[in-house]
Amino acid sequence: MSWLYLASVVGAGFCMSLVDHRWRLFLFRWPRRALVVLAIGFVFFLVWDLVAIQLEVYSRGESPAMTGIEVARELPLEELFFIAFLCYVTGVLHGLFTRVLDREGAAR
Amino acid sequence: MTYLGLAAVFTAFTVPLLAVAVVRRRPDRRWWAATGLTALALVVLTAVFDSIMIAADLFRFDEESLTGIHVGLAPIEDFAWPIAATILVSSLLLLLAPAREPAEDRS
Repeated sequence: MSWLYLASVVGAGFCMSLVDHRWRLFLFRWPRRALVVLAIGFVFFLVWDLVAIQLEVYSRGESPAMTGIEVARELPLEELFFIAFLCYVTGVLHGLFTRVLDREGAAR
Repeated sequence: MTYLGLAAVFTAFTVPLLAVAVVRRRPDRRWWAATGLTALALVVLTAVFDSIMIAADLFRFDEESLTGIHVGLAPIEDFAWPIAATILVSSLLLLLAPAREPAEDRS
């Protein structure tokens, strides 16, 4: 149970990677570009989280679905995965919509 | 600082990036449409999953720092994340594309 949240994020990320791989939408289309985007996004949201924690706006919950492992005060391990996942999903969605719009444009 | 103020500051950081990307690369309507649709999809996902995550007590907010406006259980300030992510990722994709190649190449 304590691994549920982490497993959900990783699992969802894996599913997105299958879509990404199948249609070459983001990481599987421009690996280096995508990795740079993911790295910048990761740092951006991590800093946002750390500032929010510092301002005491945000704090970790006590859910049984979390491991309880903290990488920093009030920052659960799962959050690192979530941040990466958010950036990845954004990139894949952008590639997906671009592809769909591409095909609609070509069909006309 | 309130969570709204914090959200505004970080989201504001992404706007110059968008401006530079758009001015330098002049993306076509397809890029704008894809970016808009991405934002919409992420906002909907946020409304659903943020509420679920809060209900599951994965994280907590200091209630006094919030405006009190919620969508489901999600504080409205949390919607800054999908907006900022969309602007950040979409702008970087434009800027990191090779200068001579169209922003979205067909291959």
